[in-house]
Amino acid sequence: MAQILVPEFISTWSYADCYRDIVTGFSFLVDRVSQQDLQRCSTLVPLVAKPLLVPLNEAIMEVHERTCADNLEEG
Amino acid sequence: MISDITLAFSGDIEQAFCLLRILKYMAEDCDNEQIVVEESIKESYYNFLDSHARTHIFKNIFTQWVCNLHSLNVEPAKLTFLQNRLMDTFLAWIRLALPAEVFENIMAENRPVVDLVFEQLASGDDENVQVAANCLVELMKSSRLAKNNFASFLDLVFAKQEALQELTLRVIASGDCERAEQFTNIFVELGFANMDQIIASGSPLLEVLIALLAMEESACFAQLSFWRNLFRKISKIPDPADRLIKLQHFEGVLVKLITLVVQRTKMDEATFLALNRQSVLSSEFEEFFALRRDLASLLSGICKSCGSMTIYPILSQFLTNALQGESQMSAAGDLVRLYMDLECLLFCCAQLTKNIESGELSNLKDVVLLVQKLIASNGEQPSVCDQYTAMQLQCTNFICTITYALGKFGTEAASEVKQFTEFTLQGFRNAELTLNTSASCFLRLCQDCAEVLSPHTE
Repeated sequence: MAQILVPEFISTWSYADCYRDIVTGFSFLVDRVSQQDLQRCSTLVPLVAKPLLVPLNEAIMEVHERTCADNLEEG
Repeated sequence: MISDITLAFSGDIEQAFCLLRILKYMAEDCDNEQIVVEESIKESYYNFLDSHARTHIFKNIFTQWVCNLHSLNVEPAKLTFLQNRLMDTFLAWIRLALPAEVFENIMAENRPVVDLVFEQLASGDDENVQVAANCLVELMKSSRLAKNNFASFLDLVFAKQEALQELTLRVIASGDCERAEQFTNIFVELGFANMDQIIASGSPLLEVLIALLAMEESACFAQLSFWRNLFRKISKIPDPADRLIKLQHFEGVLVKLITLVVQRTKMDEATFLALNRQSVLSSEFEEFFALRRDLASLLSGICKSCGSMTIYPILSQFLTNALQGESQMSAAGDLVRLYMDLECLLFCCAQLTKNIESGELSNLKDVVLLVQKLIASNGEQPSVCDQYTAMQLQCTNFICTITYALGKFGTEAASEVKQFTEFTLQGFRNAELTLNTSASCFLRLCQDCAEVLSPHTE
C-alpha cells in the first residue's frame, strides 16, 4: 500500500470518482485486515486516510483564504 | 378556413401543389417555437387540426387527390412529384399525434392513400420510396399506441409482409444502402407489431432483419431496440422449459445475430491506435462507444434469455480463429489486427461474464489464461497491454467482471487475483487514459477479493 500511495500520486488527487473508488477499495481491505490483525490495521489506516486529508486540507485553506477579512475587503 | 382553401386550390395540378404546401406548413409549423402565439390560441389550433383531420384533410383532400391521379393528364415526372407531395403532406399530418379515432376506419376511408404508399415503395423513384417508407413507419409507430384503431391497417400490412420481404431482398441484392436503411425501419416496426407471434413461432422477418444488419452498418442502431425488446420479452417467460422451446425458433438467427454483433463491436484500426493518445471519453469516439454500449446491453439481454453459455461457443470459435497462426505473426500490422480481434472478444466475454451462472465460470478458463498472457511482460519485452492502451482498458474491464463473478460465487483464485491487482495498479500511473477504468476495477477487486488481497497489504 505504501508503494501505491506515494506522495507524488496523492498530490494529484481530487474528489473525482476514480479517487473515491480507490479510497473505497482500500477501505474494504482495511476492514478485512482489521478482522485479522489490528496491529497491521493501525499502520494501514493513516496511509488510507492521508489522501483524503490532503484535498480536504486544501479545500479548508481555500475557504479560509476567501473568507479572511483582508480578502473580503478587496472584494 | 380549410374548406375555403380547398375550394380555392383545387382547380388544377398547380393549385394542388399550393394546397399541399399550405397543409404541410399547417401541420409542421404548429409546434414552431419561433412563431409566438398565446397558449390558448395554440390549444384551439390543435383542436381545430384534430377535428378537421379525418374528413376534411384525409378524406376530402388526400384520398380524393389520390383517386384523381389516374385521370390526370400530366407528364409522368409531374405525376411522380404530385405523388411525392401527397405522401409527404400525409406524413406531416400523421406525425401530428392526432387522436387515434382519426385512423379507426383508415382502410375504408383512406385506402387509396395506403395503396399509394405500398405502390410507391416498389417504385424506381428514390424520393418517393423514402417518403413512402416514412409514411409506413409512422403509421406503424402510431399503431403501437392504439392497436385496435389500426387493426384493419395492420391486417393489410401483415398480408403484404411477404411481398415486402421479397422487395427487401431485392434491395439487399442491389446493394442500395440508403434504401436498405429505409426498409430496415419498416421491418423493425413490423417486428414490433408482430412481436408476440415471433416469440410464439419465429418468423422469416428475422432473417430479413439479419440480412439488412449484415449489409448496412447504420441498420445496427435502428434494429437494436427491436432485438433488445425481443430478448427481454423472452427472458420474462417464467417457465424455463417453455422458454427453451420458444428459443428453438431462433437458433439459426441467434448465431447470425451474435456473429454480427461481435463484428460490430470491433474497433477500427485508427480508433484502436488512437486510444494510446486519447481517452475513451473523447468526443471523437462518442458514436462508436455509444453503439458499443447498446450492443453490450443487447448481448446481456441475449445472455439473460438464452444463458451465457449459448453465446460462449460462438465467442470461443472467434477466439480460436483469431489466434490461429499467432505464432507465425511477426509483422506489426498482423499483430495489431490480432489484438483488435482479441480486444473485441474480451469486450463481448465481459458482457457474458456479467450474466454467468454458478458452475459456468470454469468454461472461461481459456479467456482468463489469455488475459494473463496479455498482461504479463516477458523479461524486457513490454506486455501487449503496455503497448496498446485499448488492450489495457479491455483487460481491466474483463478483470473487473470476472472478479465480480469470482466474488459472487465465492470462488478462490488467489494467484490470478494477485496478478490482476498488480496489473490494475499499473493503470493508476496514467491519469488521462487508464486511471478511471483501473480505479473502478481496483474497487471491485478489493470489494470481492479482500480476503485474498489482505495478506498483501503488509
